[in-house]
Amino acid sequence: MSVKYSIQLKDITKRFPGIVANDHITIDVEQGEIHTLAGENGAGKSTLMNIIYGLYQPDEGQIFINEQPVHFQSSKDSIAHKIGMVHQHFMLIPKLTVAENIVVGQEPGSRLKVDRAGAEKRIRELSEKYGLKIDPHAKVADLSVTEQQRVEILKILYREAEILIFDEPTAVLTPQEIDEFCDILLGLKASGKTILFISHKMAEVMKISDHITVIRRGKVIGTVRKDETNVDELTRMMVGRDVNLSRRERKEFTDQPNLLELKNVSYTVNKTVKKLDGINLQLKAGEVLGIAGVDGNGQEELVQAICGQITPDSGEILFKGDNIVKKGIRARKDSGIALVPEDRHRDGLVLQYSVADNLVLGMHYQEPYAHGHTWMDYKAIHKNAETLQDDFDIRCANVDVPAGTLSGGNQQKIVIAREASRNPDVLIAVQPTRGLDIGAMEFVQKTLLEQRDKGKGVLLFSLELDEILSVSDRIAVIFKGRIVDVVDAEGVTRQELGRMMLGSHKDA
Amino acid sequence: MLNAITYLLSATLRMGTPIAFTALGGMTSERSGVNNIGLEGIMTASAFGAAVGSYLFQNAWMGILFAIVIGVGISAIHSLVCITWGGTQAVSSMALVLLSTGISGVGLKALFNQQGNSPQVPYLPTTTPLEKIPVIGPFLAQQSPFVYILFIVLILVWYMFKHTRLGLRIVTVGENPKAAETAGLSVHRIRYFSVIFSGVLGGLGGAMLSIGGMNMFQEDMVAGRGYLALGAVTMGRWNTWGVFGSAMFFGFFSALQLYLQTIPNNPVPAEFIQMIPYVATVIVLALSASKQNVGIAAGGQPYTKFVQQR
Amino acid sequence: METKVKKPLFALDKKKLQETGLSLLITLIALVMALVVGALVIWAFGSNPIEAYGALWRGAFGTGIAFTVTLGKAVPVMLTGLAVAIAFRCSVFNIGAEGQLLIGAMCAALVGAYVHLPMVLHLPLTILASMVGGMIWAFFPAVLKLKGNVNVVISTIMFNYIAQYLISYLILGPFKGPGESPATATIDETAQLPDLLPKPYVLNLGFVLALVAVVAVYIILNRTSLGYEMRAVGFNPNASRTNGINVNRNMFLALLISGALAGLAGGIEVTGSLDKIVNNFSANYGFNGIPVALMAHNNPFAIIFSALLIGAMRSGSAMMQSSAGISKNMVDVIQGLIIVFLCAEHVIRYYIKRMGGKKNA
Repeated sequence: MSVKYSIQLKDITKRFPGIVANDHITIDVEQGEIHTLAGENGAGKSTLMNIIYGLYQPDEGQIFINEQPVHFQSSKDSIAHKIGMVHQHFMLIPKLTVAENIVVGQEPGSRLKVDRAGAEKRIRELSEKYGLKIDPHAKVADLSVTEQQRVEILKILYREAEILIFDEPTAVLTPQEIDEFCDILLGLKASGKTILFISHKMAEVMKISDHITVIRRGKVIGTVRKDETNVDELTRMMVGRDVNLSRRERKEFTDQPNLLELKNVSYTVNKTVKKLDGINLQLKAGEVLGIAGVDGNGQEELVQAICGQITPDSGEILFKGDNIVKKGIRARKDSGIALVPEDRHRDGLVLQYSVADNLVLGMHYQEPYAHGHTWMDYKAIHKNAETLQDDFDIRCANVDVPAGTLSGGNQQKIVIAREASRNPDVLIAVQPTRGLDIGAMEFVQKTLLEQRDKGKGVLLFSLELDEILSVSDRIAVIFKGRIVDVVDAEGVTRQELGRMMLGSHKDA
Repeated sequence: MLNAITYLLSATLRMGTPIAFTALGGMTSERSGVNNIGLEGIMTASAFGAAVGSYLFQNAWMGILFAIVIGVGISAIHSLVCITWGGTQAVSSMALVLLSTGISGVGLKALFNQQGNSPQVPYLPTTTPLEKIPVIGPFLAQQSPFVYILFIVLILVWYMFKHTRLGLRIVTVGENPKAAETAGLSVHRIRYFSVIFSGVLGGLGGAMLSIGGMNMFQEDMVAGRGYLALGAVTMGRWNTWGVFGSAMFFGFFSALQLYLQTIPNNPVPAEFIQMIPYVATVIVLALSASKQNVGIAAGGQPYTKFVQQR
Repeated sequence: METKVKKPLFALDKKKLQETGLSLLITLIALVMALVVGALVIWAFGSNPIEAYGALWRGAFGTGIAFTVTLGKAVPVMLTGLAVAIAFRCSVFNIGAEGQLLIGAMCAALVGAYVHLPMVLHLPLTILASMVGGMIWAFFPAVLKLKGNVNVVISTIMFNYIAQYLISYLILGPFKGPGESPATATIDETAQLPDLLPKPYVLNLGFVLALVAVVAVYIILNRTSLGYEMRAVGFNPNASRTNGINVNRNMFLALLISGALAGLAGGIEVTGSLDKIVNNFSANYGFNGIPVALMAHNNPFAIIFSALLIGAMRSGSAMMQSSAGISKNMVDVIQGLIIVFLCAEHVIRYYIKRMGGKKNA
């Protein structure tokens, strides 16, 4: 029996201003297989998927679907070729019901009346057939993340897709949910669907894939059979060399005082959802405390509570012994809490401002940058920028260009340089290496460790266990708004951490 | 007493109808994600258009047709600017207001060689065929046909959002245009439809002013009703009945002010009564805007190729 | 302190210069397109566009007197343009300049007519009153935004109408001056702005005040920490908040400053030329601030020129009506068209870049 191909990409190239997102990508996906596309953040995976789905048009190259050349102008064309895609960020409308979300665009019934009963019947059939339990009547706003994902899958099954694309579907799931999700994928494969799966988590990739294609910086590094490879080889392919971020020498810190202490901090949204549920945490001077956990277990709120962006319902936040719960954002920053936020474009930088102006954001009203809290001194700001540019190796034509014109790594360096230059007692870094290349990543991690060695307390939030393990001195695991346990980073295994991330204690 | 009530009811319908037409259109546009704070402009231009059509053909129904054409034209500019060009919606809206007041002023001079107002034109103040209905017939006949058109439009809009695929799609592009696009819908086409539909209804609203309630076009005759329609959309929480109710609520205050003027020694200055709808809008907004989960998720945000590619 | 600032007024950075040139080019393209489409409109309504534009030009710049009238007409729109621009820079769209102008004018008229002081005190006090009045009228929407998260666009529109009815009540009722028509009493001579030029030229000190306001707005935006914060909020409220900038406070202040500038426009109208409040005296000066600010890309110095342009249209429109037979409302149409084409900024930029790209390739 000869192999049939569902998707073939030949020399697909897509350029955006400043970068080549996809550089002559060639991939063959066999019919009925699970084909994984693996690669680091920013490697160009999502762009490629959007091209296959017709949302972007390639600058060069040819796509074949079921061995026929195609030219998609919009997602309408790809849907017509029975391609469906579950996006990384769900494409759902919270206000509408499950059924409405699924059928919109291909509503049953006449132009004048949507056949709601028919829609719901069809959805029930599909959900039984593929084991995706859902109430078609429910409002999407009331659904959990896994349920929403089911709606997304039903949406493409409803359109009778034969080729299913999943863009990082497990990023928002707990390890347990990931297992369930893998079973769903295997079930879909068993019923004859072809699946293109995007992920950079090795465990699940090795569990369900038939073939794995690794891309790096927009180029295909290679395609391998699952049976003929292993995690180490894949990782090497993904990052381009052996990753060996071994931990630096640790200093003794046990007798250090608590810089930051959280006592029973709770925070509730909409009166029902407990985002933080009695958090207790101590950060000492001269340590990196890593906060591990699956995304969405209260990390965001914890950062916000410490930085003053939200006020907890109860509990105390002691900074150098003072309760700072009532203090505003600026007061906390000025007293010595610095933050490298998760999303540098959203929260870290004013992209239209120059590099120099960004380097004083938050300190702009203080001496020497402003006199009498009023009159800006752009000369001092410029001088500060040139110093930091050298110290932190920020690469830009000059410090007067808008921050938006710099690369992601250099933008992150602006944020890190600024926050470090505040000379804080506590530095909070949230996913500080997300989307950075290896060089920038190492630089950022090195900076965090330097801060630690200067006797600061560093609080590192990361979803990447590798990063947590290689940088932290102690690790706190957060689950459903609670700190499950705090352990010494020395001697804890990934497996143990994984279990704790699901809520069970280390010793349990 | 009974007289006062019929007077108020009748006047409320008369004053509320133009606002309601425009507000229902504005609601449709806003639900698709395109705000139009320039409804005032659409009303002005189409009130003028209605007078011109009615004058040229000496037939008020032709006036309505003209008004709709003008309403479509003005809203087409808004859709071009906001949807295709990705311009700022509030800014474009202000352009509509300037354009419309300008065009009607220029038109008055050029067509009628008059300033301030048009000559008298045929109009539609009453619906005489309804007179034969017993008991309430005379009351019904006193209302302009526009009032009855409004009720038809009201039911159409309600049905569209409740039952048709178009309604579902409008909501989808307004809440999450990206989701709509991935579901194979054309965001632009649906938004164009919604904005132009609001032009049709705005046209009817404007026509009601010049050839429904009056028999001529006057400059400044819209007098902020477009903005009240905007307020009605927000106050009615983007719900067909809510928007209609709010429009009539505003109509009631205009009616009340007219009524109070008929009473000798009325203690409340007319200006304060006229202020009420505007103050009410602000108060209602203040009471409800801080609540979460209201409004249109992607409202006011352009969705265009040019914006995507920066 | 200001003399210490070393950064030159226009930093001679190549990129920046290019960007400034591009902005100017976009404005010019929008202006030309608006005039072309405007010509079509004039032609469609049966007049001769060249004649009409010629009359507009003569009316605005044809004589020395006309030129001073143009300068005078530019004053209120320069101030409302500044009002719109400074708020815009902080992400606040103040459509309420009209209402703020009305209330500012009213306050000036009252202080000018009912307070009696020597000129050195009376005139500044009257001007100050107008700014306070405009600020008060901006204060309500600002508070509603701060406390109730009420959309500023809608609330400022509503306050325009509330102001309009309030003024019309006041000049008919409690503050009706002597005489038949609804108007306030004439303000004292000690509250009137002195003329800059001898008669028959009509230019008063208000023009200088407007220029001072331009410089003041420039300094606030570009030389103070308040301006740094307001602009940061305008570009990226999230990053501003995360970095300790109080977003609401800045938007609040931006709206208040905006209101004060609009109020000042009203104050100068009353103390400079009107001497009292009559019905419908403003004639959309507040709304004209929007195209003025947009054409200048919210740059205070550029506003001088865009205000002159709009002022010229306003002063030339009467001549256009009388000699070319097209209604003076035509200038509203042109202004609307200018805004429409300025909204195409993304598109124009795209094509300019594409053309530039081809040249380089």
